[in-house]
Amino acid sequence: MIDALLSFLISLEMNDNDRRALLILVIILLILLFIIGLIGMGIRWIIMRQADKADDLMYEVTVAHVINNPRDYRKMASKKNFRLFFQKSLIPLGVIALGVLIWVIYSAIVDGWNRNIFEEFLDLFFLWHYEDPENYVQIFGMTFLAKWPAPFEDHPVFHVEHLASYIVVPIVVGGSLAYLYQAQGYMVRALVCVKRSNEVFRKSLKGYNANTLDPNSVPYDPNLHSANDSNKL
Amino acid sequence: MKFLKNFGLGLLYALLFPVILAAVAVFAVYGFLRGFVYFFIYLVRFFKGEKIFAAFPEDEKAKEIIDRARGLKKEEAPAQQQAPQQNIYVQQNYYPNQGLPPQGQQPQQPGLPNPGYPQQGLPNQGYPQQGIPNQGYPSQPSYGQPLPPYGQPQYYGGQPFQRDQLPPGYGEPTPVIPQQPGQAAPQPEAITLNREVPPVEPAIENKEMEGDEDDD
Repeated sequence: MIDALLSFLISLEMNDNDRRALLILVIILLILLFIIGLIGMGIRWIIMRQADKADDLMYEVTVAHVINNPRDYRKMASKKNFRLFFQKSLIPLGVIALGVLIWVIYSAIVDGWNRNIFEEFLDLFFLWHYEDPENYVQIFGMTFLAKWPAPFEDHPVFHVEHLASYIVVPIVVGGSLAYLYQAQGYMVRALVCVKRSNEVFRKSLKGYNANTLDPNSVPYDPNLHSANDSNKL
Repeated sequence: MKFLKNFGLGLLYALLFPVILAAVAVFAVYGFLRGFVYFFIYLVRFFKGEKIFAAFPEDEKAKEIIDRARGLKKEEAPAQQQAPQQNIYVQQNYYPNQGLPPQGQQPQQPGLPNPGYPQQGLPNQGYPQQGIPNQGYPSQPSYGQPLPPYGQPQYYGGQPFQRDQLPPGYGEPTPVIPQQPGQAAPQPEAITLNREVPPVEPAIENKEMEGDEDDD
């Protein structure tokens, strides 16, 4: 496998343009890797934050020993976790419901039930022509996007008749993202609570040696010690 | 080093992001369905007039336990520092010349136990006397002068005297002021500093007599 790879690398014949393209490609990959790593760190930070909330939920009942076994812990955690999720998701769901209500009223007024509101919302964005083959480049037999597609397929245009879509789509999308965020918190807390239920009530013997005797806990009996001494003598 | 570790974990989470997203979507649907059911449960609870998000019984119990534990800690700390509680009764003295003490006699200071001076004025009317009982010291101490140490009686002005040279009036009974007709008997004023004095129950004979009256 390694021999085949080495022979392939040796057999490569690169001109200056290929070397430059390869260098740029490596730099872009490194930057992408760095950005992806940062995004992953952000995701992890959000998940850890929700995990801490799971401990907050169950701290008092656990410390006060109101709950004394993993099964009750999981039951209680499930109830409290869902209640928190319910409370937190009320606002996102309310926002989504508001958006849907606006869409229903608008569609009922203009009789536009078959209109694609998301497509109408895209009027506000640039649309690139990705199908143009001139935007791509071949490196080592692979096709890569070399530049931003041009010309634009469409420019931002504001249509008054699409006004409802411009309002409804951000509301619904924003509410959905907020609801997904809360769902993510619900999931993470549930997983952490299951993990904690096994950890909190575990009886660990790690580091314990039954043959270890604390000399301070052994009472001194002069009679016994003197008898032992006399026996030794 | 820590950043590199977090960065590596971040890459892992980014790679697992599609899986995480799928799991989140499943939980979102499950939460929505469960929330739909609970919405009606909470609605019924609301129209019953109950609290929608009432505290769980386990939470209330835990809070009670924790509060009790914290309360005990708070009570124990000052209990070790405080002096033992005591009630101080102030015996208000009355004098024959309309409340003014005669020359040379001073009223007893409230709050200060009398270490052995004879009680002036009315006798003790059943309230517990604080301090040391009368040990036979001169009956008229100088007002404003420090009290003589215990066991070393002095004349006025601080002159020590011999045991056989008793001061005038020493050993004589304390004069009792006769109560004039139409004048209300002076009542001693009691000040309770730390706790209330339990009410004095009437004598058993009185109770029995009251009971007999009720029966009649």
